[in-house]
Amino acid sequence: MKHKRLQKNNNFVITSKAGYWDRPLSVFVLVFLSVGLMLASRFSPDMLSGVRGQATDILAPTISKISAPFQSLVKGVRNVTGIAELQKRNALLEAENYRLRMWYQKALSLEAENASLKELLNVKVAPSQKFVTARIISGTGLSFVKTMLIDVGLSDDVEKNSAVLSNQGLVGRVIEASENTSRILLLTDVNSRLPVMIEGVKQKAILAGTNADHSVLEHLPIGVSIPLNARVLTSGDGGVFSYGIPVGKVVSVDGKKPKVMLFSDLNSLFHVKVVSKNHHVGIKSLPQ
Amino acid sequence: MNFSFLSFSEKIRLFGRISAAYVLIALCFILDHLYYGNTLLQEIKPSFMVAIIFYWSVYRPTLIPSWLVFVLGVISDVMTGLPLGFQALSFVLLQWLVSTQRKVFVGQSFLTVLFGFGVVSVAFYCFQWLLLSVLLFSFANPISLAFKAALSFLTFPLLQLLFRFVHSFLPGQERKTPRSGYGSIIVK
Repeated sequence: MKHKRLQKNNNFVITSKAGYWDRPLSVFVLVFLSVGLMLASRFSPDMLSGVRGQATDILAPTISKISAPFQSLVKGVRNVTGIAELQKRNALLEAENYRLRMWYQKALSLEAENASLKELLNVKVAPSQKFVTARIISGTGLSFVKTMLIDVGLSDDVEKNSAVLSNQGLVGRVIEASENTSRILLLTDVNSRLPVMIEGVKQKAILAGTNADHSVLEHLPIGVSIPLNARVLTSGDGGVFSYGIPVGKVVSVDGKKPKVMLFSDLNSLFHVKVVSKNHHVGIKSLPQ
Repeated sequence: MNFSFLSFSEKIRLFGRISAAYVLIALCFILDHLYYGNTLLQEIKPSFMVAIIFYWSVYRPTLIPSWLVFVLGVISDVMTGLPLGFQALSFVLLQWLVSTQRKVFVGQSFLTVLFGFGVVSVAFYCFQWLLLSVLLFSFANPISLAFKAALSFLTFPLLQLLFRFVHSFLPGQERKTPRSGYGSIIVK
């Protein structure tokens, strides 16, 4: 019976003798190398970051080009299935646009007044910043480590610790930057720590990632009361990010650490903006 | 194997047939690292590399030697930002485990192979969960890995159809007499 089964699957039973590289000693050597690389990468990340950066610079363009049609396909499916929702959103956006135009005029007059007052007080303004738009090439694929690879790098004035934003708010920061690619650490990653301020109560805290879909506020003074739905902004402490970048809102105050949901929807992110140097974030003219 | 008796066109054809397997490995690698615009989908999508390493380790181990899975693992670590050596170690151990047990799978029914793949993929993801928990100094939530293992199991039958299709193009390697060594099987 066994021989007949072998004959039936004849085409797929034809095999060959395992080569040198499959012997236990070779496997042991490769395991030893892997463990060595892991320990070096974990405890001395700077040692291999240059090599990693150069490797992503070489591989990223290929992956980026191949992923473009797949991302277009995903967007197309999303567009077809979301037509009714789009119509509803369109109506809401039109109403919001009308209100924003009113605020735009007010903001222009306030900006002029602010500049004039600062001049009088001789206030030193923060260095201006510039944005560069980047496409997300790949992610980790595991929920334990939340990083993404983007297609901009040192050649685009992107540097380590640059803020990464979506249209809704802060998404994360750059942790590795090579010539043409960069790796970003999302705010929801367990290793992410961000100095923030809770609007309204003007309370400073640290936003810590949890590897889940929300982050939590840490290092709050005992007894302080955080209101629900309060907006969380960057505090500018440490000089890494500028003050006032929207991050998220408080969605739960139960338990020891209030939970914060990010404004950015990480489940529909194809492009991000990376803050660079030397760009004045003024109020641009609205399209007519 | 000695191919000197083949004509030039036959050698080209043979090269093309063998390349089909490596093109398939490259395709699976690329599909594993594509970004679909949805972080949740990224975390639970099945791993095509686990499926293809399993399949070739069972049916054609010489096509996917351990040094190749090591290199693919290192490249995967570079692309994903995981600690270097993490995926390399996982893939090498996976390939070694399946290679040592291939006699269990070769010549067996599809359901047996599918069940074996299920066991192997669960072991693979459990190992990754444990290793990452040690590296990150905290126990990570295994829910997404459980989804990954389940989806890998469910998609394996479809993937196996594709693998068998490519496998049908590969030239056979027949031996008249048994050789000593690890993993050789005689076909009469």
